[in-house]
Amino acid sequence: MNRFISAGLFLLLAATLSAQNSDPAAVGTALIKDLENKINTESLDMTSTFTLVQKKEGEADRVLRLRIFRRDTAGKFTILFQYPDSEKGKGYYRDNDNLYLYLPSTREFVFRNRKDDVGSTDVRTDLFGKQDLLSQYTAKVTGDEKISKYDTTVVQLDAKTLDVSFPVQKWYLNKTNNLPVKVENYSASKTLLRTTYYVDFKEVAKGKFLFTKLLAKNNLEKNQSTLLSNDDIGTGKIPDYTFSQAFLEEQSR
Amino acid sequence: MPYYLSLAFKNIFRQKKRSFTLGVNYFVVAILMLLLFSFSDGVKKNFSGNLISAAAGHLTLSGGKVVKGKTLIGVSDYPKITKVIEDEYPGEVTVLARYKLTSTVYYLGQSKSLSFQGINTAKDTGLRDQVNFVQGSWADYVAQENGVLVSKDTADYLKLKLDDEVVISTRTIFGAFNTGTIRVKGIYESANYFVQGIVLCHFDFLQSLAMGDKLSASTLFVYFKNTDGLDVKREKLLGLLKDAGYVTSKPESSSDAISVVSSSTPKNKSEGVDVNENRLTIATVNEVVAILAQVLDAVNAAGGFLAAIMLFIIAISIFINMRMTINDRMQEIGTLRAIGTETKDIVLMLIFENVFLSLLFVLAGLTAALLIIGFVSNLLTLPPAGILSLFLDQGHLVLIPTLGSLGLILTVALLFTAIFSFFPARHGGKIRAAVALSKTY
Repeated sequence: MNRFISAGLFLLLAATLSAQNSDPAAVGTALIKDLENKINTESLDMTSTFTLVQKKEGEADRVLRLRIFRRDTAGKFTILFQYPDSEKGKGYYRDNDNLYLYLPSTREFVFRNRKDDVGSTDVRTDLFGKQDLLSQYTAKVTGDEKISKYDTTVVQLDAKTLDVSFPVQKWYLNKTNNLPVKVENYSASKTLLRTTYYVDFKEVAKGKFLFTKLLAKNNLEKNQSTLLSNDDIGTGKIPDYTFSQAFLEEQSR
Repeated sequence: MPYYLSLAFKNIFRQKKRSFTLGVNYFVVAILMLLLFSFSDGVKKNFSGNLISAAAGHLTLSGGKVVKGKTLIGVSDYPKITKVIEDEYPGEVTVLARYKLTSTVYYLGQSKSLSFQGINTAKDTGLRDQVNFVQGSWADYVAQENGVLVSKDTADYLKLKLDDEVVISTRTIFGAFNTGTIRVKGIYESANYFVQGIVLCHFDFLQSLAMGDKLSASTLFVYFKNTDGLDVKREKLLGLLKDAGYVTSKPESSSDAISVVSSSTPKNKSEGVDVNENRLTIATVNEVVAILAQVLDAVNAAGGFLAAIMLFIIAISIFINMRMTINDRMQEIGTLRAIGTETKDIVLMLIFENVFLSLLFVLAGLTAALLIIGFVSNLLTLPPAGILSLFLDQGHLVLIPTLGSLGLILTVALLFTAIFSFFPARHGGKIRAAVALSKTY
């Protein structure tokens, strides 16, 4: 029911935008704002388990399982590596722009770029937290495209400053619910570096969505991709202590 | 010459077995110590030489531009710095700008993270002499704007051939990803450790790939005619560049100096948004190699410890040998004392017997060590791969025996012998004629 209300509201937004404003930048900004509103879960604490399967040509599949604790209101998340045993005890703790990787072997926290790749896969840590695209990019609609069976609006994001990993991004937003179907990340010289396909979403609260399956493809390293599934999603209150370095240290014991 | 000296010299091999047993110890210690010192001096010289030829200047400058508390790595306005240096040392200095970055190379399903160095091919030609071309040429590389030289190992790993075009992806100085295409114009081998593995590019190409401004460089290498007075020259440049508007500093430690040469990210504390400045750190090549000197000192200390054990054995041998010698030669000592030889002359004769013995065998040991060094340095060729190439020059192990090392080994051996011979010799010298002769007859 909520899904229908949300889709209805989005259709109303799209109709209003197209009728009142044909400026691609204004429409693009409104779509991204709506998207952020849907995928950022400020009102909720989120807990889920991610399973990442990295596929590389000529190599056996690599599987990682992570437990995520997310609190968008405070701009924090904690990630615990659960599988394989060799990675167990590792974890990330993000507090706004500060991202720390905990290494149990040396019992130290390493300050990382907030755009770190998780366990050398094609999935980046910024995927797990709150999206704040409009503070870093300007948006504009560049057209429509059909991706698989979905009609999408293509919104191009151009970085305001080069302090981002991907200076250009293209978000292919589903015309029916404004959720992403595909995201393309480009380098400063407009070379396609990565493509992320959002396969499925789950509505975790009214008007709030969390992806449950996505495929991240490395466009430079041919035949390398990472499949990510998101299960055991919970929205119960998470103890404050979970969002601390001490929690990661404790969990590694 | 006092008569006891000629007597001492004649007595060296009176007890052949004992003398040779003791002498062999001196011989081995001399060989061991000279090889060790020569290796240490060789590595230092080879390391510095290779480093200066490829990866550092006599003075190396690196830094960062802090804009609103954020540091952009690199030297700002390098032509201005170059002018300051060249004006201060007209005609006697060469300043070379390099651009460096690490980038992942993707080719035929393989990827590898490689170090790229951009050089100004018109001015910076020193590296040309450090590489042997397996394929391609220096001229081909110079002619192609995005041309690169790759090592044979890298080419083999990525299955690269001449004229292959390859996509590289790197983070710019601002953090964003950028991509570019390079073309292989040469595949090389090098005996220089600091060249192996480097992908040599054009300065402008790397600068544009990293989105650095046209006046920026990663590092500046400053070469003088010799390495004399580098600290003084550095102090002078620190002052001049400070006057030119830079915040200048010296590395605080050897590892900081290595960071300057490798242009690695400085460990900055988080800074306020009101911090805006151009920073420069100047390291001397001596500071860079200091860390190696520490390692070599540790190696020398380990060798010295081994030599000390052998010298301890020698000390005990000297003591036992002399007590036995004195007992064996009681008649001779008694006769010498009876004809008026003084105690000190007996003592000196006994000491000099050992000193001459050690002199003979240490000299023999040093000669043998020099022969070994000559053989190893010239005739033995080793493959210049990986870390081993730090010790090699054109495939040959670099061993440099210095006069200082030779003198030190000889002096220590002789003094040691004299000191440890003194106590048993004094005992021998104190024996009175009547006592000595009564023990004999």
